[in-house]
Amino acid sequence: MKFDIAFIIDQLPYLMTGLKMTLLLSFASLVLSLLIGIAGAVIRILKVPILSPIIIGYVELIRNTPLLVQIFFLYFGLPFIGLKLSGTVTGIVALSLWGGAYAIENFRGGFKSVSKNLNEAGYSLGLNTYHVYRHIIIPIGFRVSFPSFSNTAMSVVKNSSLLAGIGVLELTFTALNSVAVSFKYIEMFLSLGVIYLLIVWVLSFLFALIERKLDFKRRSSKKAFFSFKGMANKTYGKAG
Amino acid sequence: MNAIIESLPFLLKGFGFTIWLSICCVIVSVLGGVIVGVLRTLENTVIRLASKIFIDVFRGIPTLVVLFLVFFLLPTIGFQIPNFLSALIGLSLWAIANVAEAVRGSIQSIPKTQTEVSYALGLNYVNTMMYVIIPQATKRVLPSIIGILTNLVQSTSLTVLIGNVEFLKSAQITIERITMMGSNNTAVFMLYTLVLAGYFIICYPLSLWSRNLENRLKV
Repeated sequence: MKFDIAFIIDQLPYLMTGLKMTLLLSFASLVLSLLIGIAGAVIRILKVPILSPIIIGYVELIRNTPLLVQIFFLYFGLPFIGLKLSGTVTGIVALSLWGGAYAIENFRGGFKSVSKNLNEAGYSLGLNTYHVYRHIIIPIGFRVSFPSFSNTAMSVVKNSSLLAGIGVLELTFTALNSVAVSFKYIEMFLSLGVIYLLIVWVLSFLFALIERKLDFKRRSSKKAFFSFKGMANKTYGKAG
Repeated sequence: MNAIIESLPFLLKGFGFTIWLSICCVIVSVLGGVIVGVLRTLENTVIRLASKIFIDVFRGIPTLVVLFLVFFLLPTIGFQIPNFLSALIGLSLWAIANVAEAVRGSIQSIPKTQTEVSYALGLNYVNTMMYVIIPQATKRVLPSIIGILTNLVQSTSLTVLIGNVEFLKSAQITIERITMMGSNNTAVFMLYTLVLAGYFIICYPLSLWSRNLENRLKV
């Protein structure tokens, strides 16, 4: 067995096309799951009739079934009731639904932690529910729940690798393709692991930056902004 | 519909395999996770750094990639192991890292004064851990460990991609058979729903349990 570095360098451009797809899929899914998360959390806290139980059921269903089965269900199961989606679209839908379910829980915790006094102050100033949420609860709650949301986000990026199972040309699938031609397992899978580690490290660095920026206690002092104490302890997402 | 009922024994066998694999992984990963988690809190720099690197690497790489690495790497360096074992190793590596991180968090959440007091009372390191730290830490870490185990059960579905015939694969084989026989196509939809339901039945009680423990902790 010989480790072939030249092969990895040769295959890098091809892997990069997969990386681009992975990042694109993750970004689209993250934006969507952010929206689902905020909307779902508000619906659950306001206890909107009909919608709230639906959200509860949706969250429990997604959180207690494997993402891979959800992806297969959307890709192979849905066409038989007349809904045919392409691989990429299935990927974005599956990842957004998955990320959204976790994001709802993250944001619900954050929004709930906003002091009741602020809520009441808003109403007594004559704001209606929409404005209380738009200007008070969501901006403050978002800051509180950002760390847990960033964990979910990291998991979404890592879980995009499962889309290889339905043949979406993302990072893992390009690596599998290259292995299928060259049989150089070790080189490919090791570089795959390294690339994912790099993505996760860069992301956790970015999220830590955003966290610092959102943290309004620190925002006043510029010195604190540039110190990255505790950065090493940043977690890399929950699972998957 | 008849075709599905006919293949129920086969599906149940796959379901049994999933549960068996989950139980094996749970045992290995809880034992390994506690050990690595305790190592992570030791004073020794080398051991601490090594366990930190282990935890960070296996939490950072997607589970699927860990599985592929184990599945393809071990045979090339001379370990011919069955699919079941490579699934067990891959999933456990991932779960050990996550459990270890939770264990580390819970041990470090116990105030340092507790350790100092027990040293002052003349307990050594092992006794301090056994009688002071671990009993308190266990209560705090249990909800998150059960959460990780729920994820672990779900992750067993990934082993289908390295050739294990577990619940998902048995459903896929059934689907292939049914579509080949040319009977009705709604069977695909129903079978995938059945798989979703099967995993839900295992995971839902676990996550309820975890939430219950967490709520009890808050009060």
